[in-house]
Amino acid sequence: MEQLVLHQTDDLEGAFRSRLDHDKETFRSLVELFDFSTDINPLSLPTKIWGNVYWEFMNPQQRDRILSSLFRFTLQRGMKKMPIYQKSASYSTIQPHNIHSLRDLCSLPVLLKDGDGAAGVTGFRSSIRNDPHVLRPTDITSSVPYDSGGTKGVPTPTHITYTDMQIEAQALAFRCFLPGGFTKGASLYNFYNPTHKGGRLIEEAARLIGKNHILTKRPEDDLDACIGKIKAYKTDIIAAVQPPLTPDANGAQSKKGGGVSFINLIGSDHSLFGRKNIGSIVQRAFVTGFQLPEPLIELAKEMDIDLFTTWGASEALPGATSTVLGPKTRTCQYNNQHLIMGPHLLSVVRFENGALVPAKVGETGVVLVTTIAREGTLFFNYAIGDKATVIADCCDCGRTTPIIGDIKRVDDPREMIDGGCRYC
Amino acid sequence: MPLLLNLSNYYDGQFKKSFSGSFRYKSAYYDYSFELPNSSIVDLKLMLSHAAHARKKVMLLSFEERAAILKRAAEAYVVTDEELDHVVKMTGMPRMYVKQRADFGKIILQLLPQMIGSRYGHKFGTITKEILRNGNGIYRLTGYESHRSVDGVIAAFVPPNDPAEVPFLLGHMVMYGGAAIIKPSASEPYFAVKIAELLTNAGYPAGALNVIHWDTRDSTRTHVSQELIRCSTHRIIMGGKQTADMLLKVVNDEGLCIEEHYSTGKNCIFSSGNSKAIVCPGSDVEETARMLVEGAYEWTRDCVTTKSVFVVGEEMKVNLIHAIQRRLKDKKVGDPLDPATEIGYNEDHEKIIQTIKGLVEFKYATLHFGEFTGITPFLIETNSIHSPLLQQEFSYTLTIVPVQTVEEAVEKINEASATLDDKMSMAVSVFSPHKTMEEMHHAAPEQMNKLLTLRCHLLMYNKPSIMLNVFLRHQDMLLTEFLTQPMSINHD
Repeated sequence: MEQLVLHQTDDLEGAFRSRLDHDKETFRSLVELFDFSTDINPLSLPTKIWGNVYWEFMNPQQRDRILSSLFRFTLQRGMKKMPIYQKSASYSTIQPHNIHSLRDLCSLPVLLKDGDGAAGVTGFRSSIRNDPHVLRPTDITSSVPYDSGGTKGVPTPTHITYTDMQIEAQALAFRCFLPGGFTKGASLYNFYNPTHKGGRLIEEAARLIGKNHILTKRPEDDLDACIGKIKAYKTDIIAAVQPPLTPDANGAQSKKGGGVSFINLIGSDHSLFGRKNIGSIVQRAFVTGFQLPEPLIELAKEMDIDLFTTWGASEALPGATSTVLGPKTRTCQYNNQHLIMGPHLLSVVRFENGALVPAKVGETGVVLVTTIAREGTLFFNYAIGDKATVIADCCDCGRTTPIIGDIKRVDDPREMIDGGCRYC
Repeated sequence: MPLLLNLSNYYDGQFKKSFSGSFRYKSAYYDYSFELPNSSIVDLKLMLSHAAHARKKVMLLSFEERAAILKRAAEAYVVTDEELDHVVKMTGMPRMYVKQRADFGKIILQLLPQMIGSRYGHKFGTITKEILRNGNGIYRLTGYESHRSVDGVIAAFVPPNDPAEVPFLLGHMVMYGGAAIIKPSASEPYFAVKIAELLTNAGYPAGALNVIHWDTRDSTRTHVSQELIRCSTHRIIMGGKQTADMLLKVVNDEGLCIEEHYSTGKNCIFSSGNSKAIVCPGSDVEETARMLVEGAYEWTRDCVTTKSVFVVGEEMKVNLIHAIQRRLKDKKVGDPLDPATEIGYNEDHEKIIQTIKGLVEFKYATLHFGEFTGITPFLIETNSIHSPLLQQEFSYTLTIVPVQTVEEAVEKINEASATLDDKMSMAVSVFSPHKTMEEMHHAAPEQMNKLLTLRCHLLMYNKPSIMLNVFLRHQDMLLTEFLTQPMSINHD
């Protein structure tokens, strides 16, 4: 795979198609080795399979068959090895062999972070303060717990192993960064917090692609220092957080990247960014954290700077991504993101008569996170606190995964509790 | 009439729409509205970067180059009928006074280099003054005092009431090599854009004078002004203490101050106070009445206009009331767009009528001119300096306060001024029978000494309060000293 990684001067579009053709072949030869009508351990697959770009382009039925097989294994393992599911009455009746398709995920209980005592529904975070191990499988011996943002005061600790990091880095590198226009030999400046899982994964994913420089912002670096390094290292790609332009009630502005956000970097020296500025250095930006603000998208167009985003959280990364490469008519630009199916799975669901129903195109629903391939914490139908709208189920870029957009942090447990379905 | 005015943001020497949408602002007086950019942090940050880039260029301009820019700008300065109509529609001010003030903007641009040169010197292509010292009766050079550009971006918040304010402010910035972001009031956002463009076209580097608009009524934009304050090293706030508090203090939902910027950077806060007058015994009644009417009812409705006059002696008071009444009878009241109109619209007119009516009915005040129906100027008399007439200072309303002596007038003005937001009156006009202050000082030195204790920024001697002088400090602020950093050059 390494020799196929792109060089900056190559025709990125053409090279991506070549990579896709190559990955398609790799995938086919892999599929022949396994019988996906049985339950396959996803960890038995080579780690690099999670960086295979063909996942998003393959026949949806074939993908569903493969992922269902992998998920059945993971579900069985989770029910046996994860204290949270072992203790859950809702899981006592779950039969993994009844999962024939990813649509059957709707039959599983919803995993709630925060509940409502008055409604008799408790979320796992009420017990996590005393015992963070309820989210750790008992069959692993070494893991790093990464906390989520914890906007309500209690973070979700996701237990991650070295293999897990490798799996996610593969997916982020080749299925998000590559179509985002990242190239081998480029110079990346990573403004994410290096102590956060996302910050580490970005560095790891960039290393997989083969960057010339991978700079990481140190907590003590101020804007001037960062601008100085952009110039010194001739940074052509930045990875940065952009909080909402208007601070939200949860104080998101200050919690995520308030200091060196994407717009603060541009505000420090706009002349370094975008092809419109003669002599500029930074041509691409990977910006996440929240939805890309519309004014920022307009600014990126005006400055001619490539901008894309990827949905991710410490619990699961990547979940969906927008692209830079592809036909101009493609839908998957800016905030419209193709689902990245495996190693995690995002579902957008509605509550209908006490049951989960997949949201159709045009409908808005709750985002549920499900783990397919991980040694550490396994989330099944985990209500992470986001809502999204299903934008399309096809795209001119050729990907066959649904596109979601208008992703918002809602984090209102009442909505799910009032939905009346089963909870874990 | 189609709106031809450009009400975009202005930065990098170009009109640009906002990345963040727009909003419509409607005149309070006419069926007239316009679209304005509702800028967000994205627009502001980009503008800040442009300003920071331009700052490096403007710092290098010589005094002569800056003066030449103002000269070219003054030559190109033309105010069209459409522009005048726009200001009239937005402010309700009579067209004739809007034109007068707009034309004064041109004069300001013409005079500023001369003012700065004469006050602060002009040497080595910079604002530098020779400092001489007396040695045995011979003055010789001991050194220089130089004023250089400030090292940062200036934020300026400009009110809507006077079209001359913007040339005054931006003209100073050009002379000092400032790079600024100007946020004009949404109720008159145009002149800031016009003058920024005029000066840029005249040669001031693109990106140095930027104008940003946002809807201050939109709570999602509150943090834009906070960010502009945070990112600027110098802030000019024209609008008084309340406006300054709003801009320089960040409060949380409970109203607690969680961040303040009075102590960060430098702040130049122009008070929004109004003016008062003292009429000394023996003053020329007709001439005093003429200037009082000019100061009280002409030009803009509020800022700097005379709101109360302390008249010494009963006879003078009676004569003055009659003289003012005669002049007010001739005032043309009505549509401010009519070039002959002298008394324009006022948003708070109904409220003012109700207050005055109450005061008159309860014998707290005597009405000498005005009617409680329709638009009208008011001339009222009261003995109480705690009257709402003195504390609230209504538009198109002059209040007469009878006093026995000049000293009593000064005491009462100081007491009344202490109740204002920034504890100072903007200006006090002193009308005296003496032609000059020197003469008055000769004739009544104690009175003169007392007058110099007035709590006011400007003392206008035998002049209406609105007659601002470009060569003198405006209120208690010297923009030169605010917008420059001093350097002493020891040459001795």
